[in-house]
Amino acid sequence: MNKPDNPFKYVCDLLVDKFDIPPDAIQPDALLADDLGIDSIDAVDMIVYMRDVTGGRITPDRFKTVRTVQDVVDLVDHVMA
Amino acid sequence: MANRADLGVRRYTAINGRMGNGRLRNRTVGGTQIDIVKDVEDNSSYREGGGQQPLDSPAGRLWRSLWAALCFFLFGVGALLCGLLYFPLLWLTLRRREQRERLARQSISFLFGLFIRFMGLFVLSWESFGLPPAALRNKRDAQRGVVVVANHPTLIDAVFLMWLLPGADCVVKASHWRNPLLMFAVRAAGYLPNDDDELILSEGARRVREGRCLLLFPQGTRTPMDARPDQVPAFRRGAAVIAARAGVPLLPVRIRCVPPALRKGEPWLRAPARRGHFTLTALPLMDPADWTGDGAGERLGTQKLTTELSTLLLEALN
Repeated sequence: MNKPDNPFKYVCDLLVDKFDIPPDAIQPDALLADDLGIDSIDAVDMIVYMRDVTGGRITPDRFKTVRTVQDVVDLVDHVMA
Repeated sequence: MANRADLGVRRYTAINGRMGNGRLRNRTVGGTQIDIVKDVEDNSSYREGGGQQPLDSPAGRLWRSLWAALCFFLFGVGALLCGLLYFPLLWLTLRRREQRERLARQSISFLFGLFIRFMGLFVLSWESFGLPPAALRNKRDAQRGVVVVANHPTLIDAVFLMWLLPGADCVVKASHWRNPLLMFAVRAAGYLPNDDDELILSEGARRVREGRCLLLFPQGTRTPMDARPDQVPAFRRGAAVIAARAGVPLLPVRIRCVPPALRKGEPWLRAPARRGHFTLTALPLMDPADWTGDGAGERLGTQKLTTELSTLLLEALN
């Protein structure tokens, strides 16, 4: 449970490594579903992956409010604060 | 058999009044050779364009509505009796959870079979092809799990498929866990609630890996009545992901009801102009490895597989 030094980079790496999203498509205001093609099953996998760094504090309910890449970064930031 | 052939059965190569008794035979009726193949269940003489049926008249339609009401009532009574007597009895007598849940699921399959037959007396008719799949019928082959996916046109799709897939696990509407009539059954059977994606993926994969059969409806909900194409619920990818991660095949089952009945948004007791005829067809097994291989990877592969499933299962509706 190490807080990533740079939450934005952490989220980018996750999207690139695990979900094959092209790096240049990942902008803070990119919409996960519409712009990056992250579907509900991907969202479950993201939560599971992020549990490694957040220790399970990102729940599916909280993740439901997420729309953009920046929202994910904020959520990681928030639960690690 | 002979009188079935006389009823104008032409569209199908094979009709057999009972399930699972079929040795492959040939029989000649009135000069026409008819193949009688196993796995086909048909309780009716209904055929498209088959002319007026006895229950099509206004009086027949009223009778079918009344019978449907009786069916709903009996379903409720049965659910209550099971919930208050039978499932608690299982709880008291079988301490091993796996064993108890399996017996509960098998009991549900059996009771749903009775219920469908009771409905089948007047309000509907059906035929099924390739169900239950050979892997479930034959104990020796039952070691390999399977994920069964179906489209979801009517209220009783799950009733049909739980009957035709004895003892199957199922992903069930989460609100049933708080429904006074159904809460006992879904808990006793250990079904998976549809509001917990992570549980469905992990527990679903675990169960089919054990050789069990998991039934789910990738659309998540019934297709609403008179839905425009953009209102048809999209297929979600979970079933393909479960099958890919567990290394088991998918069995697509196409459900069709003509004329449409018991759709989402349809008044329960409004009988269609003629009795609804259900056709449940098991399509060939699909191996997720065929999609996820060749460097496609799980994510892209299951996306393509899901699109393919959607095409296969919904094309019959158009």
